[in-house]
Amino acid sequence: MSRPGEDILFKCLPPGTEPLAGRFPGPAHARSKWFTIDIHCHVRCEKAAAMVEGNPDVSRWFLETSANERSREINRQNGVRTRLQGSSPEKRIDDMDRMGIDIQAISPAPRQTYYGADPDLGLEASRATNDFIADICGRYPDRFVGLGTVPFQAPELALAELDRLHKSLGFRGIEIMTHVAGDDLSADRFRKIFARCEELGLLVFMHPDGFTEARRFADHYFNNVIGNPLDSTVALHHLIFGGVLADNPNLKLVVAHGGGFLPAYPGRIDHAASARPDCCERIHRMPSTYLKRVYFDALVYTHHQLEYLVEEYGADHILMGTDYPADMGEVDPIGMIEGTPGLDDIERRAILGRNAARLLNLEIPTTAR
Amino acid sequence: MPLGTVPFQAPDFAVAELDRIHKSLGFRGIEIATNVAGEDFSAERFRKIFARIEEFGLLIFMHPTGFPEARRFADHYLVNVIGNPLDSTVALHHLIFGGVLHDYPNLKLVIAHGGGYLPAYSGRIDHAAAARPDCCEKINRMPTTYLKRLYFDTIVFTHHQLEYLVEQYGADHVLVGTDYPADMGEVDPIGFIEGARGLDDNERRAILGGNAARLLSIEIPGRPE
Repeated sequence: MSRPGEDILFKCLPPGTEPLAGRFPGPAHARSKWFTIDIHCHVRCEKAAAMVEGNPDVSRWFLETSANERSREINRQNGVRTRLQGSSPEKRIDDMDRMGIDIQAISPAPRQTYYGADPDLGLEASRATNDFIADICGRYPDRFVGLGTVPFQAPELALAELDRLHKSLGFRGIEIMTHVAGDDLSADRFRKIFARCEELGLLVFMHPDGFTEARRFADHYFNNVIGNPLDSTVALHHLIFGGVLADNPNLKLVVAHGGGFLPAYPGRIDHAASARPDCCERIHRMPSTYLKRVYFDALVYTHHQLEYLVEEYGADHILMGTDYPADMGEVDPIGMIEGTPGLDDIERRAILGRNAARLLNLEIPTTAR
Repeated sequence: MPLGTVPFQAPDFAVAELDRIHKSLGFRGIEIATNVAGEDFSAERFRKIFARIEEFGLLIFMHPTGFPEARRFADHYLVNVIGNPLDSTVALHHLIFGGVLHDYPNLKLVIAHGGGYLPAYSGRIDHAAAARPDCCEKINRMPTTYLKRLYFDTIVFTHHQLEYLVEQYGADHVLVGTDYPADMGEVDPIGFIEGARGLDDNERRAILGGNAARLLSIEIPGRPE
């Protein structure tokens, strides 16, 4: 079920033409038809970037460094093409108006979580990024809500910044990565962060930065194509089997890219837990019980997989996301969800905005349909 | 019905052994792993093996042994739970994007465990090829075109995923498997396929034996009425 502009390979385009896939803004949609919230979109904070400048261990973008030279060059070109979209709220609002997006829940560019930084620098960079996001939300409160970042590598500092972003900045959630500089999220030292997120009722949007062991992913942009859904998959397994989701049952966890591979392939975890004692040391329910508590964005590109996710996890567990302004993004999220034949309008409304409003505690405007 | 093995790491020996198992031993196919001691199947030196397999019409059954870089898979048996579908996923991406399936369109490739993650999560590869030139250097069709030529076994443990695979790839592309005698195996394959409500009996018959018979050139015995 291909959509316009996505049924030909990039290499088959006439020279000089730009593809439609992954180029924001996508086709125009009226804003009045649906109430829409984009749960998956990133901003870039120049101030935080300047803080880690010259420190490649901290600033490196793993997706970048694990790719071959041609992919890096394309990424550099993309960076130039999307720079304004990443940093200017006015340009962003223009694009949102065209695409029919009412509200973006803006989160940091994944590389800007800087979990590899020393604790002090990690906190400083997190604060700069959160202040930048708070400023955008403050200037355009009808169009943006903030998802912040905290220095997971230093749990005590992370707790302090969680309190600040919740109480002083009014954020409704945070973005987290799928590992902390190589450590999995089930490590004991991170438990207090998840507990506080749960206590404060914050939404946790989990986003990958490629897979850590990417030796075989250098070509064909594989560390994004495979690595991104894979790292979310690995993180979800650790959160489930490591007992984090069992211990924090009310955690509002939203996983990018349809949750990666696991939600589309969930039978194996239950079989393993029934067949082997080493699989269920920290949990006392079937692994898929915990998976069903999790939320996923709709960024899976095909109607049939979106329908499958809705059937298995419920329309109330799927949230529209674009990955704006990245080239692996969904530039026509409304067209994608309107065009999915297996959904009814109540489900479409939930996916397009109402689920995000519920999880973010946002009031839905009375004018919204 | 035997499926053999050949030393992929030594392509000329592999081709010789392919000749022997096909001509002297009468095998109808071989098993291959999902990487060759860490090297991916898209490497040039393996092309001659795939070419000979295609020429002989042999079935290839591809099976993983976990993902080589398994640092984060030590606990909870993730080496198998994630590692196995993952390594099939990585191998399939290399076979598709590396042009092997493009160059050998008649390969009869069957992938274990429902083909790993890719068949259930197939939109991302087409989006990448439509959005980025570095994703489609060795192919000239959408990546899912090649994916749809493949065959998958039924070891996915849920009826809904089995039905999804049948819907997307056709009942003629799905073959029953058990993984006998492993503990990650399906011990009730017939019950599993009989119980998948979205299938009709023609589809069940194909999955339970008809497809494998066709790919292995086995005559289906006549049944008394």
